[in-house]
Amino acid sequence: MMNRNFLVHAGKDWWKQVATQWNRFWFVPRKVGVLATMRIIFGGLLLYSHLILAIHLEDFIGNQAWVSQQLGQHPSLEGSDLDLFSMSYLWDVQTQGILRLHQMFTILVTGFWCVGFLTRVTGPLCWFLQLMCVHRLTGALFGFDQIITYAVMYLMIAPTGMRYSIDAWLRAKISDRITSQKSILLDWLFPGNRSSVSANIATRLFQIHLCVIYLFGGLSKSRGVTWWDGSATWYSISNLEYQSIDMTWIANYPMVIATLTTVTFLWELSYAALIWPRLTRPVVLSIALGVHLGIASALGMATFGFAMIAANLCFIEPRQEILSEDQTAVC
Amino acid sequence: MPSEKFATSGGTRKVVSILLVTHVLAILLPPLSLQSRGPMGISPLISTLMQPLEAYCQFLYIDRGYAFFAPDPGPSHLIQIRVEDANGESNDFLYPNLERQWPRLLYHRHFMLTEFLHALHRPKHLENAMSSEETYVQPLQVERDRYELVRDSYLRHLQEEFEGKRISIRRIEHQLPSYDLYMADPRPLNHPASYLPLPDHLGADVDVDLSESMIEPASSGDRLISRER
Repeated sequence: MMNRNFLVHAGKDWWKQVATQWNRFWFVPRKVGVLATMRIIFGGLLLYSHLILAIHLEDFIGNQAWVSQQLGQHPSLEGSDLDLFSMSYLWDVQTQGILRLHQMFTILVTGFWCVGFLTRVTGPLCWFLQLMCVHRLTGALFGFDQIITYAVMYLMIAPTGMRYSIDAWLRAKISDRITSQKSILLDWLFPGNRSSVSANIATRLFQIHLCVIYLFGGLSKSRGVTWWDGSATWYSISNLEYQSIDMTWIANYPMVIATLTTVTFLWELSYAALIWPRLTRPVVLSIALGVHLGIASALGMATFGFAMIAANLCFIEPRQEILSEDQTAVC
Repeated sequence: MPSEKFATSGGTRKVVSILLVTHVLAILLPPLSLQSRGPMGISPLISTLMQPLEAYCQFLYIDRGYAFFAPDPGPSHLIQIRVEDANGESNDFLYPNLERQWPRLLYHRHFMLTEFLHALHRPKHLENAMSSEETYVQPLQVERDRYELVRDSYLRHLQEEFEGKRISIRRIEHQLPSYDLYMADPRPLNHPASYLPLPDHLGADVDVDLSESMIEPASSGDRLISRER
């Protein structure tokens, strides 16, 4: 009987500790400085992506696109990996003029979000428009589209307009009015610079997602041969279609090739574990910077490389960014 | 242990926690399902867990495997386009093409389109292949039909781009030089011998993809490679 009571109490204590740690991980308020910086970077990258698409809109969206509108209506694709047509209304829009207007609207919304204008509205709208876009661009997407879509998804959760934004400037202009009128709507629309639980949730989700991306990136590589024998870097830089800088001279230095391969592989595989302790985080982030700068400069994917570097900012966590729970917080 | 105060109420925390656990599962399961795919299909455990979250993952575009340059960095898959005018004069292009597609992001989107076509490819004349059992051939035939739909969509786009001229395309694999081979004979990476036309039929050597009667096939062994970089 005594043993049973002891086990019940021990179980309850353990569960309490789990709940406390869980709450500390997710529900502690955090300042939005880092996320606001990320909003500007990802907003800029997304804006660039939409602008390039706008210039060549007919090639990617519409009746004469590579993957045409007609394809979207074909019944034989139902249930296949290509059956994404119900996910975006852009498959159904036939008029090129409307598609152009839609793209201009998307650019406008993305621009507003990037500079931090009405971020509470433009954030979710920007994310939704990006989702509609990626579901229409079947076949033409790559890692860059994934990471910017996830970034907008998480950043829209946080009140990133609190910092480095037109919203913050407007807030300063009308703060007296918000205080005197006690306007909940204006206070929500133009949030003051406070710490926020939603900023912490957004950060945590982005961090976990990034860990999953790297973990499975590493696990997928572990199924190959060249990541183990040290030659994968050679096969990456000798791929002409990816190449933006000719690095084939590196063939004269097999030790360098093998070292770059092994470091990249082990770093990716261990990222999810070693990024959390403060002791190992600077090392992990430094390698991330090196790997992604390499991809950006030599492998022809500048947008993807810079997006991944920006994504790693979610682990930049100055001590003063985390506030104790008794400080002012907003959800 | 004294209970701590948090900025949100206990009820809100519980509801948000359920949403968070669901979302974290939705992040984790798609790449796990890709990794757990074997000859027998996906692990029954993962596919069962994945089922209720499938639409959610698909809509949020988080149904990805994150297998970048994995399991090994492999060759690129391009398409070669022959444009013929009424006089029978022809020009050949390789897609993607840095001269035709700039900036780099636009080039990369075209690159992904050619890789996409290759990933969809299933050989022609499946009824003669391996097995005549309908249960085996039928799903492959469906996949072949999907490939042809996308290929024909590409052809229509190219016809529009080249103002109605006769277009033919074929898939090309740009092979990577092995490290040893490159050290022994450091040929340029765009050496014609590194571009391998891919067969459309099982057992065929060289292929030219056709858009029904519109396109004349190029003869087998024709040197179509004229890389523009």
